[in-house]
Amino acid sequence: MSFTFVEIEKSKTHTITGLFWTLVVLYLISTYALVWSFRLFLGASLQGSFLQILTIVAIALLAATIHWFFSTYQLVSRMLVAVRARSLDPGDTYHARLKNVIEEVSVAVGGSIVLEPYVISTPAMNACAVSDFSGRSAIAVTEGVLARMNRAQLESVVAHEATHIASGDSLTKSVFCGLFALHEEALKRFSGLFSSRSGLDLLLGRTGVWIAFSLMILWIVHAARRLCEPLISRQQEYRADALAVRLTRDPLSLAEALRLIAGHWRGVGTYGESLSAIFILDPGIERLSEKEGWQADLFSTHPPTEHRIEILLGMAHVGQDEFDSRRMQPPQYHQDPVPSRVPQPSGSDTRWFVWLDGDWQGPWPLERLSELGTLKPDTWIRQQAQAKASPAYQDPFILQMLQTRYGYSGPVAGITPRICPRCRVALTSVLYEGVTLDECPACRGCLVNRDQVSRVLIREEYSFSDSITRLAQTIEAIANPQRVAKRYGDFPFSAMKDQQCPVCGASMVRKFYTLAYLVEVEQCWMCGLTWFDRDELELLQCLYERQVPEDRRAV
Amino acid sequence: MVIGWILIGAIVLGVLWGVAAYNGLVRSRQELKSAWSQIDVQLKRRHDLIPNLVEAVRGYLTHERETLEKVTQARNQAVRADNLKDKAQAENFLTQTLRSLFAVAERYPDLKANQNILVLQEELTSTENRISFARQFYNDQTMRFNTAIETVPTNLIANLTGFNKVEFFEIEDPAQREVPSVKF
Repeated sequence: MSFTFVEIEKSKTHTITGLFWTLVVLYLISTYALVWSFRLFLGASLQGSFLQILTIVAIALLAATIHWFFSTYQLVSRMLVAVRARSLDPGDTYHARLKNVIEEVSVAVGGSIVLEPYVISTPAMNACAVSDFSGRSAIAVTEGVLARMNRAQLESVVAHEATHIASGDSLTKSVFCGLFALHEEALKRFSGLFSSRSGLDLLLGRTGVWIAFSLMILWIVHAARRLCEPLISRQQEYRADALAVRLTRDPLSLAEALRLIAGHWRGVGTYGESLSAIFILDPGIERLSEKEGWQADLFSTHPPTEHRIEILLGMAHVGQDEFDSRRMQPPQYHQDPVPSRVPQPSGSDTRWFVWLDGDWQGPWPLERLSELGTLKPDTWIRQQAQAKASPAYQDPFILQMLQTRYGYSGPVAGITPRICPRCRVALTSVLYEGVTLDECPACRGCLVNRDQVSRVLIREEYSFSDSITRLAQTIEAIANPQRVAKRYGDFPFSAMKDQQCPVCGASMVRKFYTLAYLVEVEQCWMCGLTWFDRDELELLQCLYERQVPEDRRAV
Repeated sequence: MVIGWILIGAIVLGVLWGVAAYNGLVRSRQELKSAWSQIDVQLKRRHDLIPNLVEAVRGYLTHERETLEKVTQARNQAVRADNLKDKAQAENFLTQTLRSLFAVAERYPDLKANQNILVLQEELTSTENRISFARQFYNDQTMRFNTAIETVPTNLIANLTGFNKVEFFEIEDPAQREVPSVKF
């Protein structure tokens, strides 16, 4: 097996040329069939002159070339959109690790290829590589992989993808996907619009015709894809495994990684199954992939997972039984309790009464109030001369004093900070489960976007305190999602008039996080940012983890 | 006459082959150079990280001044080394001292809680991996190059045009082959 990429490059160009000519032939057949059926319809003779045949060939060539350039233009970006990949969050430690691992692997292949790192925001487990003719290459890994794999396993998965890119498999596969699968996915989404009987249905009226038409094109594209699939060899996966081991010198970790991915949801439904060629394991569990034989060899893009693992175990000199018994061991959990989140670096004569222990106390000047530890942003206060009581955060002086107490010293570099919707205090950045969140230093609630929630949910760095576990048990015991759904409909919410989204200023809506996890949260109805009160995020995480079977959890 | 033509043809072919082989050797020597510069980049990265690390842990490891000083010293020595042999030696020494620093750090649980140090730990782990990957790539290239100049028929060209064997960038003690595990 050669590792000089120039030699592998030759076989790759053969496949790509093959793809192009298959495309030409497909167009030739369809143009010819069209002309033929047209003649049949008109009752003309079926014999065409030489000039006519030449014209048909020219049309087919032109159509294939247009299709080719249209499909391979900015392929990497379009593929990344299709698998819903996003760029890394610089404040996230798991993402930082992924970036490092990808850079390490790029050093290992000689440093000549720039590999762009991406994440796919889903708890499913898979990884993929794409490249295009402009020389751009990217590796995308799901959040599930980041959360559940250790460094060595992640390294071997990335190495597998990097060798796909270095050897040019990835370019072939990307072009293959670009030619058919991307269009297939778009068409599926298009015909999906009709089957769900949405607004377009009413708009267009003749639904049936549209469904039939789009389904017909869908079927043609699908057939073309299946026809070209033999050009994508499943042997490439074996070769990438072997080359990855040559880079990392760690076959066992790759075997473990494959087993981990195989045992989890691989993401079918999130990204289209017609894109399966670019993933490390087939996202849909296709029966053909797990089979041997010429038919499977021809039409499947992935070899049997168990056989791949077997080969890797052979390299590591580890027996199958030994490997299986290792897998059965209960995973080691981090037993640290949830740490109190450590904040990170980001006047007048009037006197006030403070409502403490059921009584108005004071009046005190501002200096005295600042020493009063029990004074929180939502404590009731009253100015000496006035009868009207209000929460402390409504008084500008006291709010400023509280800000200073919580370590906020004015906008940094002109950026106004996000404000806690409850306490009106500037939020501070904290690190939880490797995600940088905005947390209120006073009430310990936190502001999280949807991406971040899904990341927090699948990561298990900390175990939960007893009170949270008990609360989760209680919720599970008494909550009945069906009944809740019946009572509230699809959108259980009530608008909170006095609470605004710290980012876009729209009002927050009080609702359950989802009907499956009955944790009440505030969510901005515009941008979807979610406010979790103290411990609510942990509670949601605990509820989620209790649904995941023991043996599927992160090791 | 015919034999003459065949001879001339053979000589022309031989010269062509010789030129191609020479160019191939030059190319792989260039590749070796770029592989070496990759190691250099990664070593420099490590040298840049170490002062940060020492500063970050100094507050926690007040009783381990000696170990910290050793690391700094080894780092400075590694920065100064210029030829391959010295460099390999100095880097090995640096790896050793780093390992002893991490062994010492195991005893300080406070270190685990510090986010800055965790970030540094990740960076250092990554750098160690990069160095070993760069070394691996360099040694692979070296092996290809050495094989090429020692095997028939390329050895003829190599001897004629003065290509010499290249040294591996090696770690002498086999026990040290493992990358130091960076764990606090």
